Amino acid sequence: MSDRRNVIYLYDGSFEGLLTAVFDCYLNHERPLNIEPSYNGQLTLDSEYRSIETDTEKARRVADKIIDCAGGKAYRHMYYTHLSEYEHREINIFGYIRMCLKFGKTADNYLTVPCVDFVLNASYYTGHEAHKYTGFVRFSELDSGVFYSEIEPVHNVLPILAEHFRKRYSNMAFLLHDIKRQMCVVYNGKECVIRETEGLPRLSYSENEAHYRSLWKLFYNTVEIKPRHNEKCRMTLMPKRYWRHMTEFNDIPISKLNNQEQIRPSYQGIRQASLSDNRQA
Amino acid sequence: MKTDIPIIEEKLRILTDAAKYDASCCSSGSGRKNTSGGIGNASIGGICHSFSADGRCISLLKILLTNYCIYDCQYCVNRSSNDVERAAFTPREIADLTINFYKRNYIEGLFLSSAVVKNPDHTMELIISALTILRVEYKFNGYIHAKAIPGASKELVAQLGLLCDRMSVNIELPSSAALQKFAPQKTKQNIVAPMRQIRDGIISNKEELTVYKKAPRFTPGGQSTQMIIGASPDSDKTILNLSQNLYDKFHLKRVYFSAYIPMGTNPLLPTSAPPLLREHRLYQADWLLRYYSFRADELLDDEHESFSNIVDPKCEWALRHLELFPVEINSAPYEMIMRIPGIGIKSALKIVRCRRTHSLSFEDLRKMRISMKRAKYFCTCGGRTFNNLWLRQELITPMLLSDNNVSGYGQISLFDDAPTKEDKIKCLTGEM
Repeated sequence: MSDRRNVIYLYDGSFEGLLTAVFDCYLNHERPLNIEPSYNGQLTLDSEYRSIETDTEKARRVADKIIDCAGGKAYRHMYYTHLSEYEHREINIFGYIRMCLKFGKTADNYLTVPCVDFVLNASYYTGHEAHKYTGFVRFSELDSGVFYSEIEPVHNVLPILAEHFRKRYSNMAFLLHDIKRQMCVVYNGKECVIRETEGLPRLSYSENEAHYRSLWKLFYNTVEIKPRHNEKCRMTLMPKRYWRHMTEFNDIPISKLNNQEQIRPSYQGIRQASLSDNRQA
Repeated sequence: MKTDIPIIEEKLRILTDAAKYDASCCSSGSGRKNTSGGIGNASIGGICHSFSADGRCISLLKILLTNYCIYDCQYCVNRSSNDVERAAFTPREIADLTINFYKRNYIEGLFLSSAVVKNPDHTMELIISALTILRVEYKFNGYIHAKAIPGASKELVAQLGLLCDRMSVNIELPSSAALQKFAPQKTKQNIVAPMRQIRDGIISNKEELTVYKKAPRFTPGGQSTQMIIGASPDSDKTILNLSQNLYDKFHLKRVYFSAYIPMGTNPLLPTSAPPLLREHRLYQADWLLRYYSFRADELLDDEHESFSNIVDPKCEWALRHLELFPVEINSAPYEMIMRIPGIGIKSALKIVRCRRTHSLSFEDLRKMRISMKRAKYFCTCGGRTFNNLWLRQELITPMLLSDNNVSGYGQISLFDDAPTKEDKIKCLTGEM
């Protein structure tokens, strides 16, 4: 593989696109300076650019080869790294693939090689955030019977969550909306698809929703053992960025949210609902 | 007594309040799958759905079926002589609440416990009917943790085991003497019998499953128990040895410790703040038993009956066994690397994996993101110590202490002058 360091590959941002780019690197016997999503838009003068057409056949061959050489676990690490938002993840995945092809299953032992360390860590953080969200996602029942939830994850964990909730609520229609990336998982009880979205929808909640919300807040506030109060421990285990979309911290009564356009709880609005609030509701 | 039935909010408030002193709230150990047309599944590693303001995880809807109790255990908030609000859920109400919370992803499942109403068998029947509605009618496949009531009949325990993922019987007081004193209506025999039955049920179920893989699973998540820390005068050594026995003989998945929160009126019970640090040390030791292949008698013996306030149990053990240190990172067996203070399972696994490919230096360990804060006093890489530290006991302890910055942290002293740093060091090295 020649070391023409000034070649930059541009791909469409999808995982298949990235694998196609890797395939083409090997086809052209090139080791690129970087692999970038084509929408990044920052070009340098002294580099040569190659735009990659995503080809599922090429991507499948790369995927099969990796799984064959290094196992499904290594493939999952790459996929999770791609879902993360870290800079230079593509070129590190490329480096990791090279390690996998060279050392097979023992590639993960080379933790002191930067790209291996990068991929394993990025994969860990993405998986970690996805795991946190499997617990912190809060669905609300809409009057159409669909369960709706909004999230704002740091990494693109939506595909991982889709798989989790599809198995869990196999009989229930749900919508999981990543309002940061404007993407949405739609499941109708049979098929699960990821769609792009625009803006925030108007929501009208089912009549039971307010009741169960207040019951949950009541439970949440009662279950604390007061003599053991430990704010720091809670914040470590459940950082405040998750609170925004969690029912237990949402003070706005449901009548105000119903059918309104784009009113969402803000960080300023977060405070712990006191017990007396719940008793009234 | 049951004239005014409180509305569901009131019931939830009273029965959550009554259940919250149970420490256990984990949803791990069971990989129950969803069935067609059903709702829910269990995740083998467990999922925390929220964290309450005391920092404890909320994974399961932890409630009592009722807090009307015939027993009068002195340490318990629901004792019959205590003047608290009482309420009772119907099995249907519990099932509806669980399903609706579960659909909104508030919870991972249900933790159903109960005070003993009428008699143990009647209470167990109520629990079983709630779980039957969930499992059969709603086809609920999420996690269920249920309490076996001591003194209930064997048939009911067997029936409950097929409905839940984890079952637990709480020991509460770690010695028969304490049980006699604070809970005279309970006997050790009544507590141990269901634990033994659950253990045997799990073992015979495993054999069944090897023959017929679709055999109904009996408590796939195993069993656990809880002990109250600080209500009775039992030492850490008694508690830890009991935990060790429970792991060895009853194959328990977890032993929970719950710092006693003053709520009794019995003059023999303490009224001080909950011993949170002691609870924390016991949990640290519990992890050492379960994952680090330590034995209880290695950690505490007749000379050392309780854990240090200053350093964690593993560090305390290492300081007493300095003849085993420093450990060479590149050649020591995995078991010994796990025993280095400050190195946990993940770091130990990374080390053994990586050293197959090349020898490791402290620089490599840093790159591998392995914390050297405490470990640096106890290990060498390729024969070198960390920054040429001189490994001697009288030096390690003060350095560890200065790292931890322990001033003013610990239990209140009986004496006027707080122990100085030197005193603390002497305690650790055994001079005092």
